[in-house]
Amino acid sequence: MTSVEQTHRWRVAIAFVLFTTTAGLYFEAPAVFLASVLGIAYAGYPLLVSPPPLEVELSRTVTDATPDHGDPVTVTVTVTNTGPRTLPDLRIIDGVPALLTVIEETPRQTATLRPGASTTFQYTVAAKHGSHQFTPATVIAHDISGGTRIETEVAAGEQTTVCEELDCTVDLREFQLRQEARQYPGQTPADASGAGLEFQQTRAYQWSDPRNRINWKRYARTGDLTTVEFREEHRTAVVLCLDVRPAAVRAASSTDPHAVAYCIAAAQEVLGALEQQHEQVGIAIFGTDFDWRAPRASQQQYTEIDQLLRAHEYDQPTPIDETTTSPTVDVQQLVAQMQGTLEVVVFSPLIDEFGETAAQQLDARGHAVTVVSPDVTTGRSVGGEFVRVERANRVQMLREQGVLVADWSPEDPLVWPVRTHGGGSDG
Amino acid sequence: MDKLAVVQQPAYAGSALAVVAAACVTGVLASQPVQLSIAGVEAVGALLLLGSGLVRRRGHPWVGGVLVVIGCGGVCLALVMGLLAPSGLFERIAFLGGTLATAFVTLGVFPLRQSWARGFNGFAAVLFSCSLALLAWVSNPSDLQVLLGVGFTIMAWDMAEYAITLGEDVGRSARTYPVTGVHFVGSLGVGLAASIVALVGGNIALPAIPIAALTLLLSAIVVLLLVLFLGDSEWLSKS
Repeated sequence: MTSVEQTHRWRVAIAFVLFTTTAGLYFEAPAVFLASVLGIAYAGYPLLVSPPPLEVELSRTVTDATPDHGDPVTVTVTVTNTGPRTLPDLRIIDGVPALLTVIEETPRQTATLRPGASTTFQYTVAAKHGSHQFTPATVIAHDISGGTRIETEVAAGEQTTVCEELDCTVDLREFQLRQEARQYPGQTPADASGAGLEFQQTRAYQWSDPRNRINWKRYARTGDLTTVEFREEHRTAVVLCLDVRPAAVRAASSTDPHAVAYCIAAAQEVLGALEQQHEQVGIAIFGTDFDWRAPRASQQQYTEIDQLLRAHEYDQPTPIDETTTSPTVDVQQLVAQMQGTLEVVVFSPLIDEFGETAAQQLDARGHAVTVVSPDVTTGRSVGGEFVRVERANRVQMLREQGVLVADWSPEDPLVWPVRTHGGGSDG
Repeated sequence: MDKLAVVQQPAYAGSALAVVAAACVTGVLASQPVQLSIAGVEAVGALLLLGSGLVRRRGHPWVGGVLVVIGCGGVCLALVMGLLAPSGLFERIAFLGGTLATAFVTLGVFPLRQSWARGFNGFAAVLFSCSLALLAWVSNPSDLQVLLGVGFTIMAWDMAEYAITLGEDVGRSARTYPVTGVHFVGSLGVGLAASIVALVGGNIALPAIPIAALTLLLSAIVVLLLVLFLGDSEWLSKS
């Protein structure tokens, strides 16, 4: 949207004319009286120049559209004057994604552009986990007197290349579900024996066993009838639970993304992995409102969940206002809506009791719970150290209760926790 | 979150031009050669103060600190010397007004406080105008001297205002000298053209035009300009 505004900056010249005229007459100083000509000229200056039409085209390229976390990405922006007149005062502010930090140069530029001329500038951002949308660049033009200000947003041009997104995915390693299954065939191996491809065990033959499962070789060798069992493959229903409450919108520093951004980036990666396996995926988002989608396996469901995740990417590192709904009530609501035994992945920074309580309640209902917790705590202050110790205690407590916890430092890959022999988790 | 590290302070190029223009007004207000030197010392001090910000941004905080001390020292020295310089009382007051105004322009674009920048700039313009009027009253300067003083006053105000606006839009890190240069040339051109018209008009002997008629003519122009400006205003168009 283009806005045209009169700045009225030269109105002050009228006051100047009044002053010099009065002073010149009062002091009988012809020179001062004469100086009012200058004031009149400046007062009329913006009326002499007409504002130029703001017609520009933008192109934006990046050195790497899919960088790794922490990689510097150089953004090159070119703005071309496609209008018929010179733009004497052009100010360009590129729409840097809100959660990215500019580490070199500046995304702001000024230029004087003749018709057809271009200006190019570069800046470098540090990539952070997540999908980062560039917003349209803001272009401001003034006429030469500064009397008129035209402001517009410039998105992709028809003839230009505009990079709209930086996709810095989470390096998700050793991802596997916890083998809790529903009675649908799928790709996830379950503990239960039955029909499948992978050998599980042999057992004594029973009258109801199908003939094709009898181990005939063994019968020929020993005369005993045994039945071969395979590992059953079940379709798993997974629910992604995200803690996006304002209280979770916390960052290690003002130049780092907040915990919710990391949770969403990790959830997007897990969603992608589950989509590849055609698993049933649902989502529960605990924010200022409670969002719930029951597990389903369809392309529409995956797309809706992805959109829902993107909709919760906050720009601000600190909460705007406190939540009014009780998250505990939301968890109870979620528990009531989850039918059967599900695989639940809770994404929470665990900087307060909410994530821990939610995981415990879901675990108590028999769901297989995995917690992914980005660590955004720092020991730079006494309060920060206190929160860090509390979070470490929560992680330890959950692990002791048999909940798998991925204690994830966003600088490192997200290694999925696996159950160790002692019953705890490793990750 | 806004993490672009944008320092929304007055742009350096416009600020420097504003300080130079302000120092020129102080020079015009000087009635003694020593006062010209004082104006020069103040200008150097003010430019060093501005430069300190640039040096600090480029990673030399200690050098920036030293420049702040030297710059402040230069401006303060100029103010004290302006007070003590040998001259007539009213000439001294006019000159002191000029040095004070330059100091305010410097404080505005340094800036001492971003929200005060426009206030300082406006106050400096008022101080310059009053000092020029006082000088014109007491020492009957030439037309050219007054026109130069008025022209530089408007230029100083305009460039400082421009630097503030530009800084609010693109910050201090952006390259601003091309657009600042274009704006400066435009404003200077208008000032020069108006000065020439004024000088030519001043030299034409018009004994037949009484002062009252001339005043009425100027008043009519002012009213016309006011109407033209207010014609754009929302409140007027709504009513």
